[in-house]
Amino acid sequence: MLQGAMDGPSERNEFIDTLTAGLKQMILSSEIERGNCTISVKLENLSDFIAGIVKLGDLDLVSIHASDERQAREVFRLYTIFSMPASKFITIVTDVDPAKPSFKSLTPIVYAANWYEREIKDMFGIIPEGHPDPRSLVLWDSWPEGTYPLRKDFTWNTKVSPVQTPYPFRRVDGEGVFEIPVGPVHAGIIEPGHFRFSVAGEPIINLEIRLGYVHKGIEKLSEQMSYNKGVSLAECISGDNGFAHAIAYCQAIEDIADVDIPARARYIRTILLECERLYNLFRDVAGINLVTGFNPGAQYAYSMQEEMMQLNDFLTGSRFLRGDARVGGVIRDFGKDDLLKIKEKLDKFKEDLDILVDMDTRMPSFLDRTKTTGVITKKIAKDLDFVGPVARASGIDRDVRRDHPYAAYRDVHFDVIIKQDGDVHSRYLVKVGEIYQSMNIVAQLIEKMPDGPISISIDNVPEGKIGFSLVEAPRGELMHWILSGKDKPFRHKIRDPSFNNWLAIEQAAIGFVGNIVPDFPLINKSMNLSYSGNDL
Amino acid sequence: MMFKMLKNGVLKKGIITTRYPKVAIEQSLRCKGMPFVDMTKCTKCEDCATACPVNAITVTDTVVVDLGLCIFCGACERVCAQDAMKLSREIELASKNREDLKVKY
Repeated sequence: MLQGAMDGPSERNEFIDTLTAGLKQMILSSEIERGNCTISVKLENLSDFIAGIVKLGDLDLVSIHASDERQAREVFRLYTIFSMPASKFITIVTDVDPAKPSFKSLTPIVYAANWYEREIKDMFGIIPEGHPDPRSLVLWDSWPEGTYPLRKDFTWNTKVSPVQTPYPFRRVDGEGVFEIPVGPVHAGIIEPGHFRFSVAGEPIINLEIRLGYVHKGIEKLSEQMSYNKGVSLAECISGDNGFAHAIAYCQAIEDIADVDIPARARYIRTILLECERLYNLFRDVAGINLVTGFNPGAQYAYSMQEEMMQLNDFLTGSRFLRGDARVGGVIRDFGKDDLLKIKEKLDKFKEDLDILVDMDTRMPSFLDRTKTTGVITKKIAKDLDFVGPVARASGIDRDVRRDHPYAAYRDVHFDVIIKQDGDVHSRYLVKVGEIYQSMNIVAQLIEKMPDGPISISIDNVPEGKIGFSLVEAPRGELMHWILSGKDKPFRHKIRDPSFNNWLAIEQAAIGFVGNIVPDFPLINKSMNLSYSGNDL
Repeated sequence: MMFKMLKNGVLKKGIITTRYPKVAIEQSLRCKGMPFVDMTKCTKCEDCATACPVNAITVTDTVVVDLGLCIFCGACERVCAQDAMKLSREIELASKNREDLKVKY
């Protein structure tokens, strides 16, 4: 999947070589496979080791998750994954004794570890000692204490009896400070999520988000489903990012089986991934126009989204691109006519979008509303590990398509759109820029489209191996991590970009220059995060 | 500026949606509709039932497809060695009763 197979032996220990002697001593064992480094560290050294390596360089946290390996090894295992800019991943493996399920919290060192550790606590009952916010995160309030759904002794169809426990929200006290609770049921019948604003007059002092109302147990369910059926499950994780999820799942399995899929399959996957990005981004642009009160612009962009979804329907028979991904390739081949139609449509979209962007970026009412609203500074974006267009609008140069190329992204040229201001307007510009880049990518792919088969069958997926894949979904970096079991995943960890970026909404609402409550819908639309993707 | 957008954009585009159900919907050629079983070809091998990710197919003397569960993924069509299972173009499947969604062949 990744670069590295061609790397010579001189590069093999590159990462470990840069470590100080003290850090090297902490390493129990290390293994390098296809350029990716797996390091085993003792539990008591974990936080010191990570503190040491994050100081060394530009590491982005990809995931921290646990797995219940008590049957095979009599331990819980913690996997901490970092990505390095040079197309490499570092996985730090630590064993946790089931008799004393706790570890020293990494959140004080890597701020982005916050939600991951709370998730581990909820799902496995492994306590992050010294975590600044030990409240529950992913499970609903009435989930009984001491029941940990991702442990292997919890069968997937267990029914638990609810115990009423109120969630301790952060309170802001003071004269004239009021709380505005919003949700979980919203006016627009969107997905459920609770927002609690603390306000003094109109300015927002604090915003706290409570999610998890649609927690579905996807990771547990996936452990019961064979690989071929799991593709359908992955498609359902977050409705409008379904194809990206399905491809991430397939790539993880292809990584375990160590196979390369045919070139034509890679190209078709990439075209469909970009089709998915396009309709998502058209909708986001429409949403921002709508909330600024510019309805003609919104309807105009919505009509482009509709046309894009009709194109998806024409190509695959599904407006949401369902049912076209499979392990080992894709299901449907495209003829010359199909590719021609995509090209025609995209050329037309380009003209249409030019008109809208030209108008938006010159209209005072639009600029007044979007500029300096919901600012996320680069430091916050880096510290809290935001991904996707949200991070790129705050000056973070990070895009999986370029940094860790998958599918056919290695074969195309495109720019990663970066803006520095971090406000709603920057996010608008990044999203618009990405639409143009997507069209550009699809045009190049159609030009270069290779002939050949569109899938290969993968019969043997070895047991006990780790497969890992990153995909740049429309909302940002999406991860699927699979530890293989017998014909189905033993542990399947999914990290949707929304999981990283929900904290961005909290930060943006408090803001840098003081936002008011009516700014919130705009901030929300400018990110347009998925509840379902977060509430696995 | 606004005039330009109205003239070149909104007005030129016209209406791009269909007034369904007053006007019949234009189905895509690759439209995935209700699974249809050709019982003259079916050998009741149960391959489709095994492949179905949502367990919507029950094979006994008859084949029952529960459209309340079906996600129209086409896995059954792909595994069918006899070419008996096919996704049809039938998409108007609404029913007032859940039992009616169980289609028996």
